[in-house]
Amino acid sequence: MIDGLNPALILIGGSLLALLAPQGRARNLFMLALPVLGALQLWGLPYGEYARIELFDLTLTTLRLDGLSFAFALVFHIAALLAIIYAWRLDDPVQQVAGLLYPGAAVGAVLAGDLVTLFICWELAAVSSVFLIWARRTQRAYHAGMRYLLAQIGSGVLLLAGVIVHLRATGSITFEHLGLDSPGGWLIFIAFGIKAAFPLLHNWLQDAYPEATVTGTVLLSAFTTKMAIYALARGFAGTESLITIGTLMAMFPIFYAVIENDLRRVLAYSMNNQLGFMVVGVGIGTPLGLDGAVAHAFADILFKALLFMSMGAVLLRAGTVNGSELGGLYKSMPLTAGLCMVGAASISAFPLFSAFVTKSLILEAAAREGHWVSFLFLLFASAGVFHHAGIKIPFFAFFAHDSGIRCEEAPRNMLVAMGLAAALCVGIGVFPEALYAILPYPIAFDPYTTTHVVTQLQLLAWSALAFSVLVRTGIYPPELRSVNLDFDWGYRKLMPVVATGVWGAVSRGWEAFNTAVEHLVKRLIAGLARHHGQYGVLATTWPTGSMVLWAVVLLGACLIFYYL
Amino acid sequence: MDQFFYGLVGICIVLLLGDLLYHKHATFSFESWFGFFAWYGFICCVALVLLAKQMRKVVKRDEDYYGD
Amino acid sequence: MTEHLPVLQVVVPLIAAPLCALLRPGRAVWLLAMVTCALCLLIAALLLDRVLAQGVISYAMGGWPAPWGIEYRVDAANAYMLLIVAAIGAVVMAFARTVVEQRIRLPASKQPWFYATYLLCLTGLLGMIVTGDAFNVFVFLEISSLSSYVLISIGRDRRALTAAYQYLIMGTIGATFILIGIGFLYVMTGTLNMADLAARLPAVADTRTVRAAFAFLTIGISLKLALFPLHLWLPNAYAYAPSAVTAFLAATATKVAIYVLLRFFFTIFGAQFSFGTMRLDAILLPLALAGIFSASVVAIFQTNVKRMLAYSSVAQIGYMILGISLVSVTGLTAAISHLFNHALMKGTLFMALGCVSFRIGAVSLDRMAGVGRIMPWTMGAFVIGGLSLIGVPMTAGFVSKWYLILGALERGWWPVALLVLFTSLLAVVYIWRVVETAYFQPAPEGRATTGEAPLALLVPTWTLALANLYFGLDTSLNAGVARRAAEALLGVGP
Repeated sequence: MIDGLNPALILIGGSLLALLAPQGRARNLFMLALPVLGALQLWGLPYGEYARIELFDLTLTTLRLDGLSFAFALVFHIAALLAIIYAWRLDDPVQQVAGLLYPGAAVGAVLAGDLVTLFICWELAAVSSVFLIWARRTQRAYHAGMRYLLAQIGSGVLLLAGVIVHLRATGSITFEHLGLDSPGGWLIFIAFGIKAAFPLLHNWLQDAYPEATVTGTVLLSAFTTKMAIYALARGFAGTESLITIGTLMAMFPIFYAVIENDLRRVLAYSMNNQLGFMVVGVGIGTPLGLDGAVAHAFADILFKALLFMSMGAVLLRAGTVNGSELGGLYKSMPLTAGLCMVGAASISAFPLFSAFVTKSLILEAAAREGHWVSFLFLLFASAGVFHHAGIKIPFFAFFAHDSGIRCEEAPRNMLVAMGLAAALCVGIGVFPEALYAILPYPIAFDPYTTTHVVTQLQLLAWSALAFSVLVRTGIYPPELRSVNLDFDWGYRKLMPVVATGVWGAVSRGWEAFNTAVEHLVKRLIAGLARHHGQYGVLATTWPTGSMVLWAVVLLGACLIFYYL
Repeated sequence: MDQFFYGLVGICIVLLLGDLLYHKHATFSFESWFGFFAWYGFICCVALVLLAKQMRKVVKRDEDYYGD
Repeated sequence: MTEHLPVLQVVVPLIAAPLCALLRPGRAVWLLAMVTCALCLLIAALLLDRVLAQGVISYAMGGWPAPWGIEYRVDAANAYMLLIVAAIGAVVMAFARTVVEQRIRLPASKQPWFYATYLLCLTGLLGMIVTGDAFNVFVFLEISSLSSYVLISIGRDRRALTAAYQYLIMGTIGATFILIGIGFLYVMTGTLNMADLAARLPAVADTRTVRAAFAFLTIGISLKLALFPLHLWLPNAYAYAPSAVTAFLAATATKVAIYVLLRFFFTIFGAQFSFGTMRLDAILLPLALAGIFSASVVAIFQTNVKRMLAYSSVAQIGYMILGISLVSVTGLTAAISHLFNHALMKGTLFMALGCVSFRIGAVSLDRMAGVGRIMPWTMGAFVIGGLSLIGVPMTAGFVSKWYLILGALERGWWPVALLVLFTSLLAVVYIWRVVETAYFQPAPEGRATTGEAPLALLVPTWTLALANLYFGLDTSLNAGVARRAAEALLGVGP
């Protein structure tokens, strides 16, 4: 443990050094060591504020460790570690560097004690993560990455604007509770909201995550959105509107998840839904609610990573993750199937699995505060999660009708990574006290009461029954190759169509205007080039005499000016 | 598959009847209704699927709808 | 010993220069020059440290007290300048050995003369800064100018000779104007000591002679610092000089001229007279803006990257003059801070180009295609220098741009602030052209696939490149000391 060293710097610095290590085992081992060292550093640091930097008149607190930031930073290190093991055989320096830089930026963001450092990490995370999408190296991924980057940078710009407003009004950049009423509060709230994928601001997530590389999606699923949950918990805990937003967030994606065919996109929708639970927890704002949000974020990173890893393995081996083309894979990939089902059980909150002990904190907090509408909707959403993530994912990928695909089991490194994640999921479910101990607020909560276990099993079993009945009666909608319109339709279709319409309507006038402008610009550039271009008067070598003439002219002008 | 289904039905019924055997700790009154979580889960899932099916009529488009 | 630091600053390189010329050609010459430069840097650092701790240091030459003898006077402003010049002098000297041995038109037997001339140039530059005597400024100006003409003329390109000749003519005119100005002042006041001049000038300020002196000094100094449109000697001189010389001169010579401008117009004439009565800002501001814009656009069209950077230097000088013509603590801080930051970024860029030309023998855009793949470290340093030049946050260049925009906004000059931002975009364009060529274009036919530049070149280049990043984060020197210097010049500080 080095006193005051920011663990984020270990990952960020290491990401560049990693390229110096020879490709192969040496680099892999080096990369593996980084999150381990970072976690040890994190573990060794006592709570407090470190590494203050003076930047102009501002004092940046680049490292603040307390209960809230510790839990997030710790799970980020675990996620980075899992991703590195999962990507052991990957031979792509772009993804390797991005795979360290991006977690590093996320760790830096949750450890940032001030808004400026937060902003810098926020943008670094945005820029480094897009390479995980582009690394797929397809046209489709390029466009999706571009849209993703726009959303992320847009969030960063809003954050910066909010920070500036806040700084001017309060003179402080400390990142503490802000609330909507604080100056710039709304701007910062929306900036966080974009990254947390609030309803209507969510499309970048479902759009981009499924287009990333096999390992890229695993990484993406862990950091950006959880970073936003952390920021909301820090800045907007107890903001009433978050309960409504979170409830909506938990509800609407489950409908899309039922009819979506790309199983990684199903997971992206289900991620949106899980984030909804956390947002509700933050919105309730009681110690129990916040603890629930943090604990659920912790658990979610692990089981979502596990699910994305299993779907990544399917994509790698079978070449597709479309539900309509898969089925019967349990024969070829029995271990992956088993691990995927551990993830499915975890996200569905089966007793003895992780979400059971974390999601219940949020539901309990909602119940104690008397939010019965939200409570009912969250229960609905819980049944929905089980339905699409718990049953649909494993069912269509590994069981259902036999698609005839025969492939190899996932590579060993992937199985190791999934195994570790699965072990953590079960570990949290069986020993919840270990997780509860690192939460920001001390709680006395026992998830394993008879009532809780039985009611949860009832909910899950009857949901499964509903699924079976619907499938047997043929009512269940078949998996179809399709695109389902979401709000991104607005900017991906409506805006272009409207733009084209408007374009057509005014095209003649526009063209005339256009030609005129073009003509002007051409003349401007030609003029600039004439004077400034390589052989332009301002750029050529002048005769010495002319230079002297200039000096004399100016001297004369000066003399006249001064004498006047 | 049939065995699975009937096994599941059996489990469901056992769990439902389990409600009779212990005292439920409920925050809201509706929680203590008999088998609330069971039938709520069932109805929700059926509603979810039926609604999603209707939604498909509105939102489903061809796979290369966005043309990329 | 330490009380003699101000004079040692000049005497050490002055004595080392002829020693270099006398030594037998070989490594020893370079080593002597290198040690001298390192000593100068050490002395400058000690001086800055003492000035910051104790305030102004006054040193009487030969024990003759001012105003009869020559006074060396070191305050925050010139201690800071000494550090810049000495630091660049040392880093470039480390870079120069390989260049001198292999890349300039000098037979091995003549190479000691290069080091001698280099040290003389350094002597002149340091002397101009450290002295508190107006005539002494002229003497050191001539020493540095004459030696820099020689340094430029030994470039491999034949055009170096014409460039040096033009620089000689223009430089001499500038120096002459300065001398005329100083002469007029002497006639009116009977003194050459700066502090003394400042005390006596107000009594005679309203005379034609003093005004003429002011005009001659304005133009003379503007010629030396290459203010638009008196910059015409600069692009060729920088483009055709050996890369080590370009790096050294670009990072120091014009900066020292700007320092002289500050000294004359703020210390001797006083800000009230220069800007209140004479409205110097009315001349400097439009020329600065025109220079920033025009030179940036010209840079975009250049195909010789070295010449492109030379034009960019003209634009950057415009930024400094712009900061000065704001006549506020923030504006001056921006200008003084940019002296430092620009020395770092241009030093990096020209040295990186020196590495490129060392390996592929040319620095034109078409020959540099694909060079980023064969010389990753060199181009890495270039990119860092370029980012700093653009003024990206977390680089040194950002610091001065930040203060410049702040200063403009303080005065309520929105359009000026916008122009600064807009011209930063022009810098993005010309830097991007190089980056795009170096990284994304295939190597031209027939270029030998040589490797990365030798370490002897890379280490100094990267030293400056990393300094760009370091001083982008730790702004205590390039903003903190700059502010103190600005306050001292405006007479508002402690």
